Amino acid sequence: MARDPLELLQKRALMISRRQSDTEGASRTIMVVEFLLTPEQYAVDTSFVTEVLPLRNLTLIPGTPPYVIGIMNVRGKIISIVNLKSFFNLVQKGLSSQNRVIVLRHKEMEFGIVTDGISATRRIDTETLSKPPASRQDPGSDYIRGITAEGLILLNAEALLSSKAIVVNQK
Amino acid sequence: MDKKQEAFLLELLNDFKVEALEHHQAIVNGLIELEKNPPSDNYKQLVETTFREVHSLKGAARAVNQSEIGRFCQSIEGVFHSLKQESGQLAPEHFDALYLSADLLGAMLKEIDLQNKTVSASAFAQCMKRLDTMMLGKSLVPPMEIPKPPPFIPGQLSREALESQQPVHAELTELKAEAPEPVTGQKTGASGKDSSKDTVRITTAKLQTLLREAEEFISVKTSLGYYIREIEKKQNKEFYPLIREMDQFNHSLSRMVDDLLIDIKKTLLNPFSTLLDVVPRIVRDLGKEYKKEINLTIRGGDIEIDRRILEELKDPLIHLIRNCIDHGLETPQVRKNAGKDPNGLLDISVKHDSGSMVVITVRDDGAGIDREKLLHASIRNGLVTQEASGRMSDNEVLGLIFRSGVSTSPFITDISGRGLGMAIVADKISDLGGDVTVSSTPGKGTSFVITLPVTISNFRGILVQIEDQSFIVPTISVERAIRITKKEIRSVESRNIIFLQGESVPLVRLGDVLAIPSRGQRTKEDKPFPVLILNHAKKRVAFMVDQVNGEQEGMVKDMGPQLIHIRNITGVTILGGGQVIPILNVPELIESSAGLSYSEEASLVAEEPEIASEQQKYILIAEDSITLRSLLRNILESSGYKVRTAVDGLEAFQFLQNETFDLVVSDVEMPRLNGFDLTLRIRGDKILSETPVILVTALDSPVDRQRGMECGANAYIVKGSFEQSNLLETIQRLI
Repeated sequence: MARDPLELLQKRALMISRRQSDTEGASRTIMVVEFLLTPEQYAVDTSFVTEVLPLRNLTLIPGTPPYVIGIMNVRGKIISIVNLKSFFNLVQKGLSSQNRVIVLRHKEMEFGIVTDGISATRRIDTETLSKPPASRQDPGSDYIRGITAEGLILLNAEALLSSKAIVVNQK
Repeated sequence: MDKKQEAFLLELLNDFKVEALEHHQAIVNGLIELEKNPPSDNYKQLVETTFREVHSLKGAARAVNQSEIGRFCQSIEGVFHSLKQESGQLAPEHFDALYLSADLLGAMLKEIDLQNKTVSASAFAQCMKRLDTMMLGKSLVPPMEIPKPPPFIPGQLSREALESQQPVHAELTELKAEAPEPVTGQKTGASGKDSSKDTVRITTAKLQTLLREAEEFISVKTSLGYYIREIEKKQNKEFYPLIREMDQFNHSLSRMVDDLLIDIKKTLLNPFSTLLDVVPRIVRDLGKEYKKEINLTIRGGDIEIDRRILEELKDPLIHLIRNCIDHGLETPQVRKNAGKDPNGLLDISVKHDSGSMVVITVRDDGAGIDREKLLHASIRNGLVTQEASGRMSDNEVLGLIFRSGVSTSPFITDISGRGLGMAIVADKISDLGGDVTVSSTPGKGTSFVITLPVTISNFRGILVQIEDQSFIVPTISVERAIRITKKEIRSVESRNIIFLQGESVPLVRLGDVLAIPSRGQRTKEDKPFPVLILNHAKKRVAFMVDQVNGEQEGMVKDMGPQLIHIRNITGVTILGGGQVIPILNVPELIESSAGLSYSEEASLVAEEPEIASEQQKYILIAEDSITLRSLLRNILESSGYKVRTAVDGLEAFQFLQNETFDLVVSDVEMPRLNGFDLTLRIRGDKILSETPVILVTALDSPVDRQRGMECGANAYIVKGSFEQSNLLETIQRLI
């Protein structure tokens, strides 16, 4: 009884996978969301972005590490909000407005990162990325894929979302 | 592989995992039924259905590239294939091999995602080899006609006899003369398939998403009601007909939302059989291990309960069963000597209680709980005193079994006897909103009765406020809320305590336990302040809060995948208006409160240090970003200013009407009333017009700077280029 549907599924899976790789072509560009973490300009692969929200009605959770600024109710779902500058141990230079949240998701992990504003979405060529400068020895460099010619820092969203260091478990 | 395809394959694999577990369960059930050796017609039918389950699993495994599972299934399939062809029967050693295969298969299914496999290649190969030799048909027992069983012949041949040297077929004939089971709700692999036509398989996660989305309507409903009342307050006669219409509309909306919620909660119900299906296998294995003969009866498998409860119930239920088999039931010899049926009875029944509760009874007809032994063990472990033990009722004594550290078993086995298990069972069941009781008659048996809600019940808690943050304390842990004055606080051995009905209770500030800095605005006079007496595991602690805001009801939610466990916080609940409130973890709070040092608490008794408020400047911050607001607050407070914050220009202006501030620091872009307009209003107000205003903004354009000056701001500081000292310098210059 299960044989026929399974074969059908197999065939479909194959077809879908072919179609995917055909359209992929030789393209090496990815779509990114560009955002500001004062004073630097960052970008993140849109395939990890589930939505962009204004930061509001934040609930503080006492006892969390400093990089967790709180949690938000996003249509009934609770999203924790991370301040990357604090997680990366960057010096908090100047005041920033921190008013926009980018919600990132990969597999089971999901959280928002707070930004000083979203500038644009656009394509960037991943082949032309340069390594982060050697001077940038902060812990954040593990979570950076590279820097574009214009100085846009591309986050490694997958590494960030798979990071054990960002998970809080005080049990 | 690109991401979309990866995601597709992942989803396919997830579907496989769900499907495979069902096939696996059906295979195991098929084996159990076959081992009971039913009449030949049934036997053939069972062989056929089990064969098909294995076959389907094989096909599905290959479709998702789980070739090892596929190969393994092929070997098992081979056994059933030859069984079908040659109409042979399985001997006990075959069952052992097949159960072992089923175990390995189960382990492999569990490990699909894992890097480190525990199923070793050699175990796998060995098992395959065993199956493949069986497949040759050489060792299959020749078929034989089995007469219809005479009804109601009790007694099953003991395992010892089974394993003796008698010819195999003779045993099989006897084995079948098993006591007929009462109507069982559980479905075997054979009959379970019938219902699959009108059901769809859906993951709990998807249903929970639906439930969550439906729950969001509750706040829409309550908000609508709120706005209607607000319009009504305007007392504008023109609106009255409209309000009436809206009320009607809101009424039907309410009903629709409630119905939707009830129906979605119903979809979350699953029959108990999904949990009870694993029981026969466990009982079989444990019976074998402890050399006990068990007649298992299961009733009420068709009764439905929230599947989230079912998932959590699995471990406690299995523990109870193990407890009954290890401690409750005696060995056949002991039973015979006591004049009992050598086969012990293990009965699991599920029933609806009146209302929305379900009652699960796990009963054995074993030796019962030895009251004296239990008391003795409890006294030894310090749970009760010798003196108190004399006054305890039988029920109270039996209840001790759920306290940790109590085990009457002289031997520690790997499944019970450590005295921890029953405490864990009781905890888990209470977490699920239910309770468990035990009753026992010496020599007659023991029964455990678990009462559980059908759906996960809403959570109730007391809303409290500390500084400007709200928290909710589960009502169940709140003994009571009282008001006390400083005079009632005593200091004993560097701890603050209060007296409650003659008993001393430690007193701490909830804000101190949660490390929420105190803003130090308490009044000097001896005004009563609210205190919650929290109680967990007989420990009482009094927690000082700023305000108690009544009881609330809601669902418990976790804090997302990133925040797995935060000390002192169990989760959150969402209030009507969408506000997220952390739920306090009372056991951890009580634990944390014990670690507070004297100095932190000393301030409770000691008078607040007098601050020369005349000299302390009072600054109002208007800023819509909460992080920036807290940052500014910290900067200014650490520089000795007294600070009040407002979330936008309008709120700031309201505060300005009621209090006198020395200076205003305002953001430019804010909802409702922006910084420019706030400055204009301040300048336009007779009393406020002289108050200095500093605008802090991201807008660094000459036009805006000009605009700021025109509005009458005293300073204009651009974020980004901004340094902390710059703001402080500017403030010092102005006040």
